[in-house]
Amino acid sequence: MSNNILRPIATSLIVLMAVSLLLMRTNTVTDEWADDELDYALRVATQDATSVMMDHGFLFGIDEEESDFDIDLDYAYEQFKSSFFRNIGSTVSENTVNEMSVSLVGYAGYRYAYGMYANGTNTTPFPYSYYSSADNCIYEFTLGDKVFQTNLSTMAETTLLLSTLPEHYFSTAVTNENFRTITVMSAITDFLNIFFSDGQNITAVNAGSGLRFDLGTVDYAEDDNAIMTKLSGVIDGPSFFAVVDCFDSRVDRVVRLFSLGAAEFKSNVAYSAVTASADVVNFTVNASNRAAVGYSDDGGATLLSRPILSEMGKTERNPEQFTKLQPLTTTRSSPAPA
Amino acid sequence: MGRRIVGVLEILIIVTLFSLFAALVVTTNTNDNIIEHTEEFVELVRYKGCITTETYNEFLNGFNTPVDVSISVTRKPNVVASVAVETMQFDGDIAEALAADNIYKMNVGDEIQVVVRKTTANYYDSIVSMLTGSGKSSNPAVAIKGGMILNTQYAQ
Repeated sequence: MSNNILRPIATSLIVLMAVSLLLMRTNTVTDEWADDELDYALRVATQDATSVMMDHGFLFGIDEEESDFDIDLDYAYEQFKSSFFRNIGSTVSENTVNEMSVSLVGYAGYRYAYGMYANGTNTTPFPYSYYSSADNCIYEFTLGDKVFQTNLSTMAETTLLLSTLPEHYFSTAVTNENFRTITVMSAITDFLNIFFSDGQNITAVNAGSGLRFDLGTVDYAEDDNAIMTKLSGVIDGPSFFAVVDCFDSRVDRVVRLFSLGAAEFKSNVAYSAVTASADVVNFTVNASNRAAVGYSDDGGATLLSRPILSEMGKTERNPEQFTKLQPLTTTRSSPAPA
Repeated sequence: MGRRIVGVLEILIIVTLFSLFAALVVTTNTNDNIIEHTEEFVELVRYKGCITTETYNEFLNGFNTPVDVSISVTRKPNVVASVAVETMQFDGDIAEALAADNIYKMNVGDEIQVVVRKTTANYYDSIVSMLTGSGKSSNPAVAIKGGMILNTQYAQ
């Protein structure tokens, strides 16, 4: 009698277990594939966009060292979209990504970080600056050797070369080179935090939430390419970046992706994909140095009802917006130099 | 008699479910392999700027299941008065170049796209398509990879 009861129960449990295993495995696999596909698409897109900007002379341009310079993100932005969609369609539905909004694009250039919102509004250029209270000077670092020093007492401007400064000029604990890297990465982090969550960013407003970025400031993986995608890396060349919101119909949420990508284009060198780490609060999946992929907690449906950027690009953006830019000097308190 | 039938049915259900699970694992591993292999090839081409006969053959022979591979290259227009602008080149053109010179060269700015499809979709491809919303197809695209040529490493 008892055997008659136990047997169907045992069978049911085994069946339940098998079905659960099937569903878990399927869910894991599809999640991983979707993340990988978006991750790869975004990385390739930012690399290609960086390449296009270099090709058109907007990066490493001699004008970039001047106070005024022309920036046109159109080429890079078009390339970004083209490359992104070129890699979508096997796991992630093209229809899904058609609902994409590129909420913030821009580049971390030689001397400034600079961005543009989905509605075509530009951000102000954001320098990689450091304020030293010891000598009351602002130091503006570049991705090259130059450092622009402005004495706030006399307003005298001096151009320094990082390589000629005495070691530990800025800090007793950190070398000049590392100090520059930390300042640059911190400035890019500040730039993203300030401007992504700004009221000008209509997609962040629509979604009802901004993002907090926390980029790595130290290159943990410079000696080991094998772990480059797992640990934070730092920028060492101008890079195009983008924050993309797209709707994932499977999980019924908005997927937000960030990538700050670049590649060194040296002939006869294998390759070096130089990216920065992204560790974004509220993101649940895969924070690597290439891209962060995750699901925001809210706002998917609201975002979907808004026009996508490809349409905005045709109707709302105005080429006249790309005019001479005035740099904005900002300072951040830091320990006094040695 | 009735109990025997029930017993046989139970065994059948359990065996079927575990077979399905095993098949799912095999299918996902196969697809993983296709995705990784395609990505490696595309990255290599993007950073080298060329396809050699060796890499081409390695790529085509590296799949562990029958697949249809399509490669298309979008040439960055380089207008010369006497030459017609050829912006797109496909598998045939690449194979032709490889047969003639053992290398198919591209320039920085050209774009490559590789699409790998399964020749026949199985039950799990349909399930995955349904879950991911990537659409049903008799020969689903397992890997779509591409991007801009970033380097011309063939120019030694």
